[in-house]
Amino acid sequence: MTKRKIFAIILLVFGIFYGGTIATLNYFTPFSAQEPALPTSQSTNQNQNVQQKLKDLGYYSGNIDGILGTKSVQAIKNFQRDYGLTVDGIVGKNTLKALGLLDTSSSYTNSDLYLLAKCVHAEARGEPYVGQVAVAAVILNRVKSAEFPNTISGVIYQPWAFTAVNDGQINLEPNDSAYSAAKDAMNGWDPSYGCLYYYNPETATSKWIWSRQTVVTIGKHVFAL
Amino acid sequence: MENAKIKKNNGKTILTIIVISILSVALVTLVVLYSISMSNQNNLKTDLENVYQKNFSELVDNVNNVEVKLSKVCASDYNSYAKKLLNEISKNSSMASTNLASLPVSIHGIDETIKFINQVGGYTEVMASKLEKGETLSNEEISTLEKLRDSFSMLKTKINELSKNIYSNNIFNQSTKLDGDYNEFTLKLQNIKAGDVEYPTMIYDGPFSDSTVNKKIKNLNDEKVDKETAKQKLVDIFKNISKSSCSYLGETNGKFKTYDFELFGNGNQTIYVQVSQNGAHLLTMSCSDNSSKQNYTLKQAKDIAISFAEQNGLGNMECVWSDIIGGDAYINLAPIQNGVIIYPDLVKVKVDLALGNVIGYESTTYFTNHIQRKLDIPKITSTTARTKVPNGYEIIETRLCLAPLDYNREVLCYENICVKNDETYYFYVNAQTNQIENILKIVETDNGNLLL
Repeated sequence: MTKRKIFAIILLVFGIFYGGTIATLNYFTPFSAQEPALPTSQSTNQNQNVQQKLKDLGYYSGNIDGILGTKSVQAIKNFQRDYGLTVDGIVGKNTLKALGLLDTSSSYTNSDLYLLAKCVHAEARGEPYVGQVAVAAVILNRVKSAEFPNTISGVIYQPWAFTAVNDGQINLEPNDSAYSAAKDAMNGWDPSYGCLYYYNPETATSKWIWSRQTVVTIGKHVFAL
Repeated sequence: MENAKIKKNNGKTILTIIVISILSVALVTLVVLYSISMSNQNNLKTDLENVYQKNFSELVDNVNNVEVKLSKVCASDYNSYAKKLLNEISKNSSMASTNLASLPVSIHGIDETIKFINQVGGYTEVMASKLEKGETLSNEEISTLEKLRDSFSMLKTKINELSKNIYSNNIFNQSTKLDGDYNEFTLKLQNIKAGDVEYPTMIYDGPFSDSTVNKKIKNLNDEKVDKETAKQKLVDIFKNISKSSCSYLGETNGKFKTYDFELFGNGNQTIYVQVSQNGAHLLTMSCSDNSSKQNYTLKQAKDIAISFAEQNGLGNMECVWSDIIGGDAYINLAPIQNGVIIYPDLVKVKVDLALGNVIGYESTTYFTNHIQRKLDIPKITSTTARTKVPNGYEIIETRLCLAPLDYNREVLCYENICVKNDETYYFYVNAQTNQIENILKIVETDNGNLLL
């Protein structure tokens, strides 16, 4: 009886540890990717969205019923006229785009912009907006410079170039502000006027960086040539 | 009594066995976990090491290729065979710099080496395109190529020496950081440039040339003003902003010297502006806008942008490109000279469509390039230029423009805006030679349109 009890207890202990081990193993497996969240709010009715948008903009006063009747078509036409589109009362690609309702279904994803926005978000979230634009501009200045790789991804993923890439923060999803800053920089904005480096004087560990000629301080970052 | 003692002893034994078994199971588990995690880590290390080794081997290959091909170019008659080689050198250099930048090295351990390799690529590209146009290379250019060959051959020797050491050693282990930025591997690569490799200066108009980076500012020769004058200028431009809501932040001392201010505008917007110290011109203005409301139309936004530029002294501008992204209109303006669009002098304006005010402004390109151009009279007519557009492309508009081509080259062109299968193309036809100089295509993306 006692022997059996002891045996049972030993089995139980093994059982618990074995289960625990499995659980821990799963937890520690590297790159255990999280399932991406499925988009929850797929548009249920495009027509209703068009009507709502036209109503918001003051072009339409009827019901949001999803039926594009005379009233709706007239509203679409008025909208198209004001926005310089072909006035045909048909909701095509351009009209949807002008209404801000075009599904993101273009076959070309601007991966450079996304990557730039990710790097800006990781490196400079919490900084003033212009500081974010300047960080994006530094990355683009490096692409143009001979001393650095010649592509955006080459510059961003250059080993030890950016701390936020080293510690994995680069994989955070960028917010609107980072996107907007990346877009501005790509469009030619450069508040640093050609800088290739920036650092936070409070946390910078490199002695070498202090030898660069500083250009401007924006927020917590010093931008340098 | 005896029984109770035995029972007590039994209980103790059971407890001891339980404790021992728990401890031993825990120990076994730990060992298993540790060995699994170590083996995972080793696998990852090996994977990473393989990537490094691959990049390093490719670097050695590409550097060797460039060196051999440069020697061949110098042995050639600088004609069609040289053109082929020069193009290949440019490709090999570009790959070599990519390989070098993928290695675990601190930036400042390799920046000069990358610069040299990139400039060799840029220089050979420009020389190849010269030969393509049927031009011959000058004596000076030939002697630069010879100098490049000598320097590259030294770089090659250094990198090959290093490779003997690398193949028998692990890059990963050598790349663990020692002191902030330096590691063993960085120091080794840094030795390459510290050695006898002398990098010659290359004077050319092309990618990665120093002349492109240090482009002179052509149009900012006004007197230097003090920051109060700059502030007053801002109050004049932004009529709804008082001096008290305009705070001075400091100076920017780069290529442009500016006074920097922060303005508090409509709807809690914080606007950052940079005003040139010479002549108090508004150079850059940045502000974020997170609302996607659109109370204003694109056409209204264009007018707002044009009149804003005019207020800043940049008159006679036309909208040459516009796009709505989120709640903002991005508008590019270019000056018009005798009916010709001057593309090199773009001014970029961002208009908030909710409030209808300017929230972004960029005129450094304008001030860098803008001068009154001497425009040649076109040798060909717009009708002739239209014949250069292939069949099937419907021409929407043809207009004369000064197009920035290659590097620092401005060419008078006919711009033909065409549509095919709902896609828009821009054909640039040289107004003197009737040759197609460039084709751009509008690419729609999730984040607005791109001109590629």
